[in-house]
Amino acid sequence: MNRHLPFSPSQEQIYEEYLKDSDALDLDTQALAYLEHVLRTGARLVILTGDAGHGKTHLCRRIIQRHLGYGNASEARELLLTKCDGASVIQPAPHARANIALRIHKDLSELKPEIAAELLENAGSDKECATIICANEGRLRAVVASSAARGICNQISSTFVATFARGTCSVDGSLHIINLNFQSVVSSPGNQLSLFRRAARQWVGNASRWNQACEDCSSNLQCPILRNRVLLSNEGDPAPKTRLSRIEQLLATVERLGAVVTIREMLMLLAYLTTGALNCAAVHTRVESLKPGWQHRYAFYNLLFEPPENLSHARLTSGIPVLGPLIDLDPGRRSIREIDDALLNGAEGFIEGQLDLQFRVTVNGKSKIADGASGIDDIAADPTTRRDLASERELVSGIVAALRRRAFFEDAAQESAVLRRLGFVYGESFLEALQGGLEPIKRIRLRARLLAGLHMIQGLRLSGTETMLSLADPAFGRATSEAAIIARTIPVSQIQILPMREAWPQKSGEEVGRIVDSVDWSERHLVVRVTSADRSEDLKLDLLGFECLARAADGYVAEGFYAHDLRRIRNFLGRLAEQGRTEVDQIRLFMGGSMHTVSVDDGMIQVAGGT
Amino acid sequence: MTSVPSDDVAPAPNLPGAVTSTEISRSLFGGILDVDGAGAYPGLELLAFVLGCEQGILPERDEITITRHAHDFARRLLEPGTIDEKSRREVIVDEHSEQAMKRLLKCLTLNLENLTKEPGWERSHFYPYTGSLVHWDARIRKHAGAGGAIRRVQIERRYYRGGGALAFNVLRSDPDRGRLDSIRAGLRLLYPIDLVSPLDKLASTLRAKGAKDSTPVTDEVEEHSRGYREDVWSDLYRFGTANILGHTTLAAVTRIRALVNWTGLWLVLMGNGRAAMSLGRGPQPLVVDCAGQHPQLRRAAQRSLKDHLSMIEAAAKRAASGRQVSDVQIGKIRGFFSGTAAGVRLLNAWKGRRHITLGLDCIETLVLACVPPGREVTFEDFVTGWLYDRCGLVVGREAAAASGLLRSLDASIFEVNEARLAGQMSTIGLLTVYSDATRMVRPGGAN
Repeated sequence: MNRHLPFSPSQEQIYEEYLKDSDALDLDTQALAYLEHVLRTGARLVILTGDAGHGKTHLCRRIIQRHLGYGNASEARELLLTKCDGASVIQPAPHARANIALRIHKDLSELKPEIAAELLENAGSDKECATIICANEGRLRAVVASSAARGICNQISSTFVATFARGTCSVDGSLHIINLNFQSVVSSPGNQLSLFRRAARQWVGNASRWNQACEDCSSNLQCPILRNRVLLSNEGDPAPKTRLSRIEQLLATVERLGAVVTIREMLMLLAYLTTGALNCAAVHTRVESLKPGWQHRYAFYNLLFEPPENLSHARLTSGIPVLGPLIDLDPGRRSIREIDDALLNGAEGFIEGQLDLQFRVTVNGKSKIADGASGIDDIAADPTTRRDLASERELVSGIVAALRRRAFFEDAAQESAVLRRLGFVYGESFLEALQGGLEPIKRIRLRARLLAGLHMIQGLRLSGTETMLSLADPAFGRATSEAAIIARTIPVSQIQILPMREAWPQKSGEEVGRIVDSVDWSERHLVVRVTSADRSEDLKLDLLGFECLARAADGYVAEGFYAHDLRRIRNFLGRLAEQGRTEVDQIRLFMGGSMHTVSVDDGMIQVAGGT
Repeated sequence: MTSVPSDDVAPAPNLPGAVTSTEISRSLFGGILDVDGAGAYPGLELLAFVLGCEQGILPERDEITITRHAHDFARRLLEPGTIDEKSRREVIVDEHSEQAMKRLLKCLTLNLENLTKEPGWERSHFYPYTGSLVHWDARIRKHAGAGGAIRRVQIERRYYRGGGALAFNVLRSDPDRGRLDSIRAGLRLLYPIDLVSPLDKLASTLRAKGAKDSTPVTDEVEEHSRGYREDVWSDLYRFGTANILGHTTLAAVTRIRALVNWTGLWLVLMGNGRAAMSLGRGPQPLVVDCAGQHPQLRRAAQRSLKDHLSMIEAAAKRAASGRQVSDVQIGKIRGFFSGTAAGVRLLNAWKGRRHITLGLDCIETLVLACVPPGREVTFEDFVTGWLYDRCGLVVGREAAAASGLLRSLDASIFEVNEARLAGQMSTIGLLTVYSDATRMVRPGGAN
């Protein structure tokens, strides 16, 4: 596991080409299944695109094994190193399922754009051989825009645009683009386990491997790595399952806030939160040199939100970027009365003596061990100086944060309640809307809330049951406006709230591949669609944008905190307002909580009272 | 009738025969940059020129005349006791309507965050969201009349000191004919004459009640800005303006805000560049702290602001060519730059401990000015090719390396800075992240 950490000098061994069989973690992704399927059904050119770490090269190796029939992973890796240059043709093994040879290029960025464009043109027109190309989107854009780009490159370009506009990854069945940036590491369609859960099962839950290494270890009772393994290994005990589920929910939240989590990053995270970047030797050294009570820093739930003492925040977040947004979600920083009361009084029900709940504290000059399971009474001191007071405050807040985190991972609450504990008051509504198929009453309530939010951020304090979306003239559209001219109104019947999957046009006859089927898909965005006679405009809302609007509906707009989201939403509303602006005889004015009409006649202005 | 800067309005103590800030500013920057006209005023002045010019939008001929509106009636409505009841009722039917108009107009005035008390009407300018909100400076003057002194509204420069005139001149003297035409077309679309919005209708009714030039006037300040040397900074302004006006998929209000901000921002960047050139120094980039995480970068951004202002001061003294110049006159030029930078959100605050940063308005303006209509540029090109190479702003690692900052600061600080800027741009919708290797900058709203 240590090799997967970005702080390890042997990290390069986790790259597919250099991986040992014993270290390989073969996760069957939806992308692999889709790739196999399209190769079987006539695809001639498949482009795998997405961030580094999604597993593009891994997919190539797996397809060599599974589709071309090279059952031995080492043999497949050898082919990866020697034949995946885009020129060599790999023939199927004699007993293989494949009936056509494959040409693979595992990294298009190794070639100049013109040469790469030529390669694509040739590959697309080759009827004898199918081609798989791995390329990040930047390189792909440069290639299809190069001077050598012709028919196939133009086709790639239009399919690529369709990926975002229509949610398709192929329009003709011959050319496919699998965009792995849409892949979710925590998606669990049907009863399938998510990629994260499957990785955790193999790494943390593999009892024989752990027992072999840890059973006779002299430090096993003091080892934080083993403790994390116990907390996370799913051996029939419901508690570890809940903990793993919480980590999944955290990752899903991060994805819904706009971050892309690659499989490599997910594995790095799993390795980090199990080991805390410690290895067996480091644990032995610590056990021998330190007094007990240091292990709580390495408990997985603390590692997720607070770097251990030997790693700086900057190093950690640059190595494992997903930790950046995760740290922002720290449940240890949120106070919820009923939970805190139970924790501080020791009534949460933690069993005493657990390694991760032992804290070394210094009270009145004496160092001792405090058990977090008993609350914080043990560490109450009698500070007489400011320094003592500050030190006690720091100590208590550290312990309380750790207890809150542990409680967060113990409580078998619903996912919606989890979001509330992370600070998203309207997280439940967001999740419901993402699932789609809302009952009419819920759909109407949700739309009314978002409508009220859209009004509020324009400074229009209208009722929560409005049946029209009023758009203030963009000159006024601020929450602090005392008055505003209404430039346009749109009936709510023209406004839809859709999950991303439904916002894309439904599959038409010619389209054969859809993004949602090509990867482990999870819904991350809602789309507010405003349709008028000749066009429709979409506003994409992630979890934070939704929360911003839903909270605004309550009457308060946190301008500073949501500044960026508000700017984007107001620009959208401004554009909508201008599109439908017409000359009118009577001007509608919103002021003091009600609508007024303004008439201009013979150079005289008259404002009629509220309606 | 001519319009000249009213240096006599707030006379600054100056030594007999000494050179004034007006002369220094003209010789150094090509136009009058004065502390009174700092912030959004140059942008407002520019649009007053554009819409007031009798010879059409951005005429190429030398002599031009403008018709100026004071919009004093609506502005005075906001200051109690400045218009009598009878005059008010000639336009606004009753008290209820008057209160409504006051509240409406208040939302349209320029936000002056640096003021601690409510500004008088002479300092209250309407933001030019529609054509009929565009107006000129005005004040009450006493005039000799048959029955004694008469107090009358006079249209004259007070806060429009010449920054906008310079910008107007730079635009209309564009040697690139195609670009000039596209800017003209963009300005026409900004204030379409064939569609009168409700706001336009109200504003024009109120404006008609205010003072206006009876005959078009010549503007001496604009006249003096003509023929200033062509350099990269003039080109930068035209390039940015053409791009901003070309983004017609965005709301006109967004383009207007960006144009006003861009005019102020350009004056700051241009001042920095021309001051460095006049002192014979190489480019003096401004260090921007977008992240707010590293104290070293924060200090560098604070120091960069101080250095920038000191350089302006040194260049102004040098431009005096040995003639006497008072500190007050130098302060007027220096104050323009700090005030304008704060006004366009290039600084964290108007007062106190200030450093260079990029506020949301500033980011949006820079993106609209950088990206040609219907196109997108890579984030790397934006940060290095645009912000650093063309605007002289250091945000990313490459720019820091090129400007020698990596000798004293760690490169990772600038990586974080760059990433933070990308994060902010992404949230506003100005950056599309396709993959870790591909981030494209494009104005939100473009399809």
